[in-house]
Amino acid sequence: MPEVTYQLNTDKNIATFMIDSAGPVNTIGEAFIKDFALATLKANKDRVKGVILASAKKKSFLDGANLMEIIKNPSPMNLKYTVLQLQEIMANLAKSPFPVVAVLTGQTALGGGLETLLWTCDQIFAAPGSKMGLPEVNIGLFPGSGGPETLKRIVGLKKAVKMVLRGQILPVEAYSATKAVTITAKDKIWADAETFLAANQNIINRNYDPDYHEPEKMSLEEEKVVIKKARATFGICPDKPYITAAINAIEEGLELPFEEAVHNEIKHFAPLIAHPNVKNKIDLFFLSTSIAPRLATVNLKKALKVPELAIIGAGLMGQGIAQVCASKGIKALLIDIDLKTAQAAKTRISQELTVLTQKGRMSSKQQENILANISVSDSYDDLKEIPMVIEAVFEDLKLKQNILKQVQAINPEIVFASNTSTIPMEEISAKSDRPELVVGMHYFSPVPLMPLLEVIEGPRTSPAALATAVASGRQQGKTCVVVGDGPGFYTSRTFGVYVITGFYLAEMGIDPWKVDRLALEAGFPQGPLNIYGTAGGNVIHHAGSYMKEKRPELMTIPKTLEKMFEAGYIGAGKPCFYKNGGQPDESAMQFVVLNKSLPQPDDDEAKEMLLLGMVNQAFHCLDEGVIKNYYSMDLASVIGIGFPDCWHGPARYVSLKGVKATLSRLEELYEKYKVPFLKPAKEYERLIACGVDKGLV
Amino acid sequence: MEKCVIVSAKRTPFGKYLGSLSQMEPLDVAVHVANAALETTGPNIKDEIDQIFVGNCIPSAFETGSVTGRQVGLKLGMDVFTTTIDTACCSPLTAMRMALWGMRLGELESALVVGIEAMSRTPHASRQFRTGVRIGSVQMKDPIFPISYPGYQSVAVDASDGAEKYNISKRMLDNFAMGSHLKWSKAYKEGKFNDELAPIMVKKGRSKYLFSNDEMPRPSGSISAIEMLPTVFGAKTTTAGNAPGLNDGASAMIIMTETKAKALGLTILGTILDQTGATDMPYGISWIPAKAIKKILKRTKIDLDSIDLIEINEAFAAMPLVSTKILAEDDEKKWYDLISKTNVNGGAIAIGHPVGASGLRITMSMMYELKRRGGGTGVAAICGGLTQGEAILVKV
Repeated sequence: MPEVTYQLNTDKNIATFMIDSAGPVNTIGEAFIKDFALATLKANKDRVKGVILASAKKKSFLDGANLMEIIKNPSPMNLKYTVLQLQEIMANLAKSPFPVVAVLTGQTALGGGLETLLWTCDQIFAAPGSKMGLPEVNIGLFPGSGGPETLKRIVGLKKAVKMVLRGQILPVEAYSATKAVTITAKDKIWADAETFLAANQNIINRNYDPDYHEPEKMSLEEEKVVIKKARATFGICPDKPYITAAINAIEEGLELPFEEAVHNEIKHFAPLIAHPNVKNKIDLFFLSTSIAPRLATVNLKKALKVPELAIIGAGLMGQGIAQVCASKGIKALLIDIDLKTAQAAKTRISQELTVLTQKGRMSSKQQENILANISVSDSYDDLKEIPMVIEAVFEDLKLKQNILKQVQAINPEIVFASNTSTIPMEEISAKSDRPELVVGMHYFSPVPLMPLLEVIEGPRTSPAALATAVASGRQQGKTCVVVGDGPGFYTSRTFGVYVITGFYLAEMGIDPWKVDRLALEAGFPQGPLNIYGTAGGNVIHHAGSYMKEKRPELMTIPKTLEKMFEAGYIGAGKPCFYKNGGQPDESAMQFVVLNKSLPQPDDDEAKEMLLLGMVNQAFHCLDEGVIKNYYSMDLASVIGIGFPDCWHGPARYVSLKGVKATLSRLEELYEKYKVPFLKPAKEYERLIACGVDKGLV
Repeated sequence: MEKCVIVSAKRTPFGKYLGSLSQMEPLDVAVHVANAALETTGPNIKDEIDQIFVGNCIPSAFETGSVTGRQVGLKLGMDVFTTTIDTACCSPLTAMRMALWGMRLGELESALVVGIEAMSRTPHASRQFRTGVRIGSVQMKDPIFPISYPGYQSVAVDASDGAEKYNISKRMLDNFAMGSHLKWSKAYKEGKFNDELAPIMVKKGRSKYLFSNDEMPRPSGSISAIEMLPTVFGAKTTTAGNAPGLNDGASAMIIMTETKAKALGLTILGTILDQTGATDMPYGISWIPAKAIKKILKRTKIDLDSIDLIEINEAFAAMPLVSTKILAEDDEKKWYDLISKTNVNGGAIAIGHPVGASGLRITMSMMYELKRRGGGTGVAAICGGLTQGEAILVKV
């Protein structure tokens, strides 16, 4: 079967290139390139009046390069040759003497797929539900086959830079302002495409048209300012070579004609494949897509079916959980102390959804369906027939124990999932007669956007309760990582260390806002002190104090944090390190307690401490059996708590640095700065004894 | 007592299951490695050998699995008495210990010891054909899947239970397994196996080629990938990742009295200080190496602290870990020290475990490493089915 089938409508003399590559989604590989070239040749030979690009797959139009093919021979030479070929077939079709359009009937065109459309098509016809984007930076690459050049011609440089560097995949409505994309209903899309072809016989491809006017075109100086800003915003971390490469390619492209600019992209693109951090990103992609579903070793046969669940506590988390469940077709009963509160929560969900609908992320029909799945109540009596309840109240042990007691009094068979971020299952279920039904489901905020669900297996959690939590979590579209019990489990504990390291660095004399900047340079998405404000200082303080109480050998609370907490500098509407959305609030300095007895770390050492603090805590979790394997360690740290994705996670970081080198570095830093959580975990010694210095993940 | 020495030690590269050696006659592989051992000591050595001892534990892999030693001897053109012995994985070291008895008794001055196994060639077996098959299915037992003995649980379960008994986590088993591959890889890159390897021309399908390196190791793997493998045969922690494969290979040594070696002007590779055997409950295979090592150290009055290198065959990762933990007497730091002295160039999990050939491999691997380090004392131990163990103490 050819991956691109040439279908000629002899009546109209219009050819359709029907894309259908091997595998569940259409990808660009050797066979595709060959067949696409052949189809272009035929179209030219037949002197067609136009070509329609289309896909035989229901959901995938063309979703980028065949990654498996690339990693089989991950050499820059090989990649360069492949991209050269791809660029050649695109150029050949684009320069053919007939118009070209694409028809997307609700499918996705991603990466190389969108590049193909942007390069070759005079017009893209897309039905609602179609999605397009250049997500290459998410796998450690950048669109190197004309992506930036062709995208800027339809959306302008400013937007193109953002879309490329963020790797955004957007619904087609987001492109509707461009002249190159027409949104059309599915039933008339083919007719529209043909009409366009007939009416535009002499159209010149915009990429080759010297008279084409790029939207929002600026002067070269202005364009360079845009590039400079992009470097400052996106290119701050030197360990993300794909971002730097993308910006360099775009910048050099500013002063080059189209064909030279796209060729020049290859120069920046191909060498990336040999970089270890690019391998990290590609591996992480496979980890989160193909390994993650097999990670949780639970007996799914024992899982109860959960077509309907209840959520106790209609706060921010409860609302998010209800929204996620409802959007996946699970009936969600939102319970709070009174109906008014519960109803108000549902109203807020409705408002959130309306925003999404207005942005084009969701149809009003979808919104209606979601809301129809959410009901509200103020009575636990409604739990009688429900198989699972998720408790999402404040982090208060007594409160949680009480709710558990009341729930089990009404329905002793119900699976009780606690959405706690710190309190062990052992404690929550301590007073229950049915502790085996208690399991942890730790969601991340904002629930609809965060993919991770940390499922906690308490010492007495039954295989059935655990399996039910995992199965329901997956049904909710979450990536489930099962962890063992213990204060702060895996993520809160490790995340807490990151935030608190930030405070310690400030106490060692680094300007707090510089601490945050250094964190960004180290690859973190957000600085630790910034997180203190956005996550809420009271939450951080509460979690930190709890950890300190339970694990005094691993956790201390910096004096600065105590003082800020006491003074009400806790962010989330109250003052913290930042004001007016990102401006430093110098008044926070009054709380910073400098520790003159410690040396001030230099920039590199500070960054290393931020990374190693988290890494080491992850290994402490491994020592204690909280984290069960390296895949879980890496996956949860990146998608849950912002460990720099360019490192793949703590286990890969240690693998790349070497176990011995990591241990001796931690010993040095612990000796020098006395921060308790830099005390090396035990596992390093065991690995070294076994002769393992790398190869953890 | 007569001092006995090793003057030659060679092995074939070990092949993976259905790999490079899988279509070779095991007899030819044994003859190849014996010749390689004989040739390195110079011409005419054949005339100086008094007896041949062969260890092998799955004779059904041979065309005729009887008097294998005599068959090897005749192919070598050596008309000396032969002994073929099966003590499962202990076989080649038991064979060597018998040679040692002969020399200590004064009956022998020298011996050729061979270990051979061809697990890929093990036939499925049925006793039903003998009397003819009538209506109904024929039972074909696979003797190597799993390796077990009638009335006892499989060795994979014994290994896993041993790890549990001594409180060794699956994580540690997996760590050790990955370490085996990485240690092998480092040693391979440094050319360390050139001392022991005797490359062999193999035929497989239509191709014929020189098989010159172990083909099992996967140093580019990871602990995380090992962690994902399912447990096997109902064991709690044993997986394909923390166990060796089913392998093919052969190994050979020439040993003689020191007097004779000196008289012949041969280079002495190592001195056999002692050998011993030990037994325990039939499920005790994971700790029998420790028992055998303790026994040999006691017999020779040598302190564990003066041992420079340890080899404990990685029949499963549990064996070296359980045994070193016992030797460390619950001292965690000492345990880690012992582990880091054990199987320093990788073991059976990476290299492979042709069951009747591994005993000599661990001994020569340790001996050559001691030599590269400028000398020292090492102890090698191996477990065998239904819990027998062999230990050998070598000084270089």
